[in-house]
Amino acid sequence: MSSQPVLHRKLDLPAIGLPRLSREFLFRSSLVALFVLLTYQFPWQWLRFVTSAALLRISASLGMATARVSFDTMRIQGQVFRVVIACTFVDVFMGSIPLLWDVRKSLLGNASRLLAVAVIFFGLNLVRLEIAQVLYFRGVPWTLADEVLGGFAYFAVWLFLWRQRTWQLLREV
Amino acid sequence: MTRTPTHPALGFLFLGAVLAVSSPTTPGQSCSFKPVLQGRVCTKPGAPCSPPTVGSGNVGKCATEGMRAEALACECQGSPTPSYNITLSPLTPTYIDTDVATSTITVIPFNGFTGKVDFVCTVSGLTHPAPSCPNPASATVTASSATSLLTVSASSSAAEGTYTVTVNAVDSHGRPPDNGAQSSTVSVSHVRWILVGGGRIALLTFVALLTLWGVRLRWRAKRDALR
Repeated sequence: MSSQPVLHRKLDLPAIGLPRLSREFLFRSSLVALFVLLTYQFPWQWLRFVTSAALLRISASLGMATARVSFDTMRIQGQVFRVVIACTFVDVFMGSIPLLWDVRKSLLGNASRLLAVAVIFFGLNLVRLEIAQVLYFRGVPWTLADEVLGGFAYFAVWLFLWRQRTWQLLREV
Repeated sequence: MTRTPTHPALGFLFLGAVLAVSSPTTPGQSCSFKPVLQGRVCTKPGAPCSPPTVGSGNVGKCATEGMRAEALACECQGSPTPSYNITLSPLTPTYIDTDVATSTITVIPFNGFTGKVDFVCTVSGLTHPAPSCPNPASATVTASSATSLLTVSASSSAAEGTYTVTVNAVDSHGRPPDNGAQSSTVSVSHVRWILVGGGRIALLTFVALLTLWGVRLRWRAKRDALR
């Protein structure tokens, strides 16, 4: 008897007007794709060097045997790692710009915010890469250690963007 | 008994050498508007300059400067001779295991140079066996520059180490390029590489998490709508 109204409501679900993605969000999303594509047009050698240098230092401080092989390549515990563009998180940062840009703020305000975000992302990236390495040397397969953790890092960034959002995601119909 | 040159003579010799080697606008250079390249060496009057061509392919000959017998300069002789330079892009990837590194050889013609240029590739290094480097296909210059592909391949038996890959060229008249042989380096490493960073699985994990998050968000929205 008491379950009937609930059932009735469930049957009425399609009648509930579901929101649609706003034009602003779609525009910003297309800019995300454009920014990420643009990011991969550059080699980012300096950032790959800086990322590998930071990883070398952190790994060395954790007692691992480290050596630099080239500007983007390092040997840690006898294993050679090459830092490619994706592991600098620069693609994530560049893709975040359209979603972080606040049209109500000044250029300087936005730039300083983006700078702070860049520093946070760089730190987050180093943490996830180092955790991946530690896990790998403890016997966890690389796919699990690096890639799955990478997926979680991307998701963490998304949650951060979601909390920071200045855009209207949905449009009521 | 050996005669040693006096100080003024030494001074002249020094001045002559400086003028011959580093003067950007050597007097008597009538057949080229371009300055004589740095580093050209003249040994004695009448001898060919080293390298033999001046600027854009003009043949150079060592000549004395006016009354100063001690001052040698590299002068242009005759009309500009067609010649060419070769350039080599860096071999990529710089590290190979059992695969191939490639580079582009570009032939840059001067003074209307046309014709076929043949290449010879050599690999040198401290360790053996070295990776192999077949001679690149000939390039034919018609009007502008021409290119050819250089490939260096390593097998599992290739010794680990860094190798210098040198490409020499010769045209149909047997002339080498003005700028000589060109080199690039490649390293062989049989250590398994790990590319750090997000790949396909990272993206799939992200999409899966995003989907779960989206479903949860939608479910919440529906629940709130029902209330």
